[in-house]
Amino acid sequence: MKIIMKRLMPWMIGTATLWAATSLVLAAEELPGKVDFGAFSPPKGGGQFVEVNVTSAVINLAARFVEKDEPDVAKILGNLKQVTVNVIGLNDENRDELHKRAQNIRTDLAGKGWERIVTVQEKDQDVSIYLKMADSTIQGVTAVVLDGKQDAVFANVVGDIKPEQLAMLGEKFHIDPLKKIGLTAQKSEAKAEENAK
Amino acid sequence: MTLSPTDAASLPRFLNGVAAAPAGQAPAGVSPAANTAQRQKFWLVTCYLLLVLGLFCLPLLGALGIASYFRLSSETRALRSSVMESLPGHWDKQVAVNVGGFTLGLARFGTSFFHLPPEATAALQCLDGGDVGVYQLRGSSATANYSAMLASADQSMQRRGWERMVGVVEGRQFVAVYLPRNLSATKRIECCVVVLDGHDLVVASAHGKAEALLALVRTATKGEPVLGRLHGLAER
Repeated sequence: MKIIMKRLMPWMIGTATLWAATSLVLAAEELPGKVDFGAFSPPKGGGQFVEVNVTSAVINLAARFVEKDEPDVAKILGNLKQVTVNVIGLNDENRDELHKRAQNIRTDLAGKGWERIVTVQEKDQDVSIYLKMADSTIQGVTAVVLDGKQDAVFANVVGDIKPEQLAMLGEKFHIDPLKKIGLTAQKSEAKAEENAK
Repeated sequence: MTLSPTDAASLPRFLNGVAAAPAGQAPAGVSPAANTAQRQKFWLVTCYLLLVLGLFCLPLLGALGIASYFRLSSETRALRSSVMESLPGHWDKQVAVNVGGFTLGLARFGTSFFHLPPEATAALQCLDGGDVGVYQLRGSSATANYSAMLASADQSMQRRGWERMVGVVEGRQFVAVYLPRNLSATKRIECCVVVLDGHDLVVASAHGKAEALLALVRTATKGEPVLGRLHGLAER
């Protein structure tokens, strides 16, 4: 028994090490378009707070729901891995902190190779949409929105999706902030095309 | 009486023990009649014991079965506890019902003899079980700390392998929806929900078959855009 254990031990250690290393590599490369915004907490005093985290299993299920009647939507959904949306109502207590956090996220994204494709700053609205690409494939879309004195929105969609399609995604999943971000992206795209002409 | 080994060999097998007993010693075996009587006695005692056990156990099992209808699943209880602990006070139970696979199986069997709308049949087919609890907070003016409530519920559910898909806080309303981390989009779907509206708390969970749910959605929507229709149904 001891001899068998002695012979098996190196193999067992080797297998465990290989498994651990593989899972670490896979974990690191699993979702390249994913952004960690950190934890948010509901504002004190009953302000708005919405957190949506749609995982790949739910997206796959939704894709299966629509594949017969809306194959185009199913195709788009099939390319997605995760949808995260955070909406936090702004008040005197959290406004500064959330503005600072939005700024940090923007700086962080720029440093990590995300391309800023939409910038809208009008009235009290401040919208930035970022795109992460690798070999002409979209890996993810991230939006940081500070909507005046009302709320802050942080959205991250992991997978191959165009920013203009975010409106459709928001409409299908009934995530209004995502719909708004998508519409802003569409407007920005149209403006850019006009300017190019 | 003593028998020679050749005589003993010619005897029936069950008497061999008697025959083979050494001279001057009492025979080790028993006669066939006594053997049969012993066996009958053994079976009689066993049947009697089983009957007594059954008589005692059946009501016990029945009581346990009935009690299980009013006992929420561990996930629902965990979710309820985390919310209740974050908002201390006297919580009054209004309703707590748990319907399992056995009852739903019986319902499926029972309804197979009647003509039901296809949606109802599909709904029964897709649901494997579920539970719901409704509670009301009495005599407490404490303001809910939704941040702590959400953190506590998250922690409690994460320990059980569940992740929050939706968390909403608006005014005095709090909603959280949890799904298992290893949710399979092809086999079994599980979901756990908590809704706190002021002092009214509702916790519920359900589990069912993904394929049957898909069939139900297709039957219910009849070709309309599915996700929009689902949302409309949920809003209603």
